[in-house]
Amino acid sequence: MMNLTIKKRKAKGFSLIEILVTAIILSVGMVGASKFQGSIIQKSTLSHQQVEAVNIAKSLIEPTIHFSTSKQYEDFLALGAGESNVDGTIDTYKGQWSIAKTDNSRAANVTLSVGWGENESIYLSTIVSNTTPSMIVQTTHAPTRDPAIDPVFKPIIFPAVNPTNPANSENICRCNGGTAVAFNDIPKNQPGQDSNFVRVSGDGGMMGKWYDNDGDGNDDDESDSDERAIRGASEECNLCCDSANALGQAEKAEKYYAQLEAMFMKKVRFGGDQVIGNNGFDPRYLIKGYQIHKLDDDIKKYLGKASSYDWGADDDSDDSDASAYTFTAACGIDYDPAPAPTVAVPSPKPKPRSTRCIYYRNN
Amino acid sequence: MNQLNRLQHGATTIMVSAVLLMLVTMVTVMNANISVMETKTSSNEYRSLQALLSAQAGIDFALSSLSFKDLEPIPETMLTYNKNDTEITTGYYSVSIAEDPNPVYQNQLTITSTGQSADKTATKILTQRLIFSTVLRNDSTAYLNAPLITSGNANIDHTRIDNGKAPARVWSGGVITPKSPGLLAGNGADPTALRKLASKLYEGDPLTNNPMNILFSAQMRANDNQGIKHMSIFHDCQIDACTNPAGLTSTSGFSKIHYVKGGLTLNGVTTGAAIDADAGHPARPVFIIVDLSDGGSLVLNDTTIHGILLVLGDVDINNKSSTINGIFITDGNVIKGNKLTLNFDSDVLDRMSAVGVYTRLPGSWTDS
Repeated sequence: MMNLTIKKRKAKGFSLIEILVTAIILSVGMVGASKFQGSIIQKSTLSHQQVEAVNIAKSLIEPTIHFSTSKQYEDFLALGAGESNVDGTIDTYKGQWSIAKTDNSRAANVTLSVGWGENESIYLSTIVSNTTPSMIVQTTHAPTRDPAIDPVFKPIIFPAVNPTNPANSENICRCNGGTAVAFNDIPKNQPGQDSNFVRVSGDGGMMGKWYDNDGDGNDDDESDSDERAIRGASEECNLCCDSANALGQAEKAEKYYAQLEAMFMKKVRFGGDQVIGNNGFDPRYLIKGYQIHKLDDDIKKYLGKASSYDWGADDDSDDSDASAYTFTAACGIDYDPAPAPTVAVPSPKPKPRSTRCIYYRNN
Repeated sequence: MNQLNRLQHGATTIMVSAVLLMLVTMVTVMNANISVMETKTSSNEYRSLQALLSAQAGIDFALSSLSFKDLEPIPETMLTYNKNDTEITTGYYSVSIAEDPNPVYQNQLTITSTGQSADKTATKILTQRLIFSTVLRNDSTAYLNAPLITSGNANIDHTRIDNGKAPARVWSGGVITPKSPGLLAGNGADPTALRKLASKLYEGDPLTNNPMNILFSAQMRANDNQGIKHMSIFHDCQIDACTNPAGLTSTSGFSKIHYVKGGLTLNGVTTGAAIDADAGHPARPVFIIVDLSDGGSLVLNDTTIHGILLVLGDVDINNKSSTINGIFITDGNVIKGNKLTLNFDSDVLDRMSAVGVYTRLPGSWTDS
């Protein structure tokens, strides 16, 4: 009995020590873990703050560099240096910026810092040029438009097929006198031997060029018979392509496209793909914009064709098909090679002719 | 046996505590991993933004080197150049300009800019394609073929008009009242030499009524003529009419566009002393836009302009003798311009037609 009592007491004593040791080990471990955990939480909070600061920096820098007019750019420069407090979800952040012209005065250095807490901050910098978005418009062709957005305009259709027209497929322009002259056969402008002309007839003006083919130096003499055919061809081409009505439609289309492009650039410049589609912007325009460029060569084939053309199935070119689409073409055709370089620009690459044309669907 | 039991009891306790510690450690390590990931993510985002803005800085710097507000000639060397490892406050950029290998339009360039974060651990590559946009429409020469083009009435001294090689004598949308009735001199007394402007330009859609639409390319006219204003040297003469503005009455330098809002006076003679109030040079013609739509008047006294003078509004020129070597265009009336000599100069058009800027091709901004 005495032995048993001693054994029990001994067993209990060891257990107590073990528990103490265990408690010590656990407490040390837990203290270490909790400290580590605290550090982790601190780091995590810092990360979240940094992410928030980066987002705030984006929100601060993007509106300031998305100007659309020269005046806005001047206003942007006038911002100079400044600061602003922004409330975030985790903390309050202090944004500070500085805007100063670069050495060449044609751009501005922009530095931005977003700070929080005692000593935390991020720093960003970039350069913003004074090229306004209005200078980024290239309106060679108008894109397909959404009637819901702009019901004034009918959709512009770019022909996906290659219609044939026996009368016009080879001779794109025909002269009034009945002698067909292919567009490409119109001789190039020779400096000093030809000139532009504007001729007034009873019901309106016609434009084109007179060419001095016989070399007699009378570049704009209406009596030169050998110049009539070409002049006539030019007349018809320009009458077809450049009628006042078509020009007006083209201006409208270009204006619309300009707005569209400005909007597009505003959305994607810094936002990347993720922003496309937001705020009512339709990413289809981007896609169609590229398609337009790819169609460029196809469209060029039809420059100078009649202002209304039968794109229907029968290709009879009589424009009488009820189902056929007709198009108004507004073309600016430069017959001349690129002018010689002047003091104002670098040497342009000579091209036989450049064209700008907008096809506007009439029906 | 008792000894064994005692040992087993202690071992269990230690095992339990070890397991507990291990669990705590595992949770802690997992949290640490998450925290490290968060730190990396936020850091990556920060450095990525630094790299992006650095690359964009390269693009914009290159653009600024090609986009000259006052049409200063762009050095040929600027069209293909490399600028490596340029430091900005929070990063670096290397930018190059080269001819576009797959151009859609003529004179197309591509800017490629590589941006790096401040610690050079993040990289972003941006490309931007540029096109050359002329100031004038590329078909403007078809319209600008007379020394005087006005959509209103023209009261002029026809003997002071030299057509040069222009086939058309004068374009007017209204009534032309020459100094004396009869045929105009010159060009073989061609009765058609004095031509009324056709309905071609000034009829139909209101958009075509604006000479700005006829003269300038769509790029220049977009957004309320912002392109023109951007390219122009602006003279604010709305409160006080400007007289011989310093930049405008300069015949040196290069071709420029001046946009004058309000009244403009070019005085070649003041109290008997000759003053050089000429604008432009035959080799460096100027394009002067005088916007009188909100008031003001144009006064030319013994001055010579080499270039294109476009007046938005009526022009009352009854001053001392002045000369325009180029083209005089107005969308209003020309009243009593009897002392104004107009010499058509097609070279002006040729030179101005080549003036333009490099601008962004929409949709061509890419990143990788």
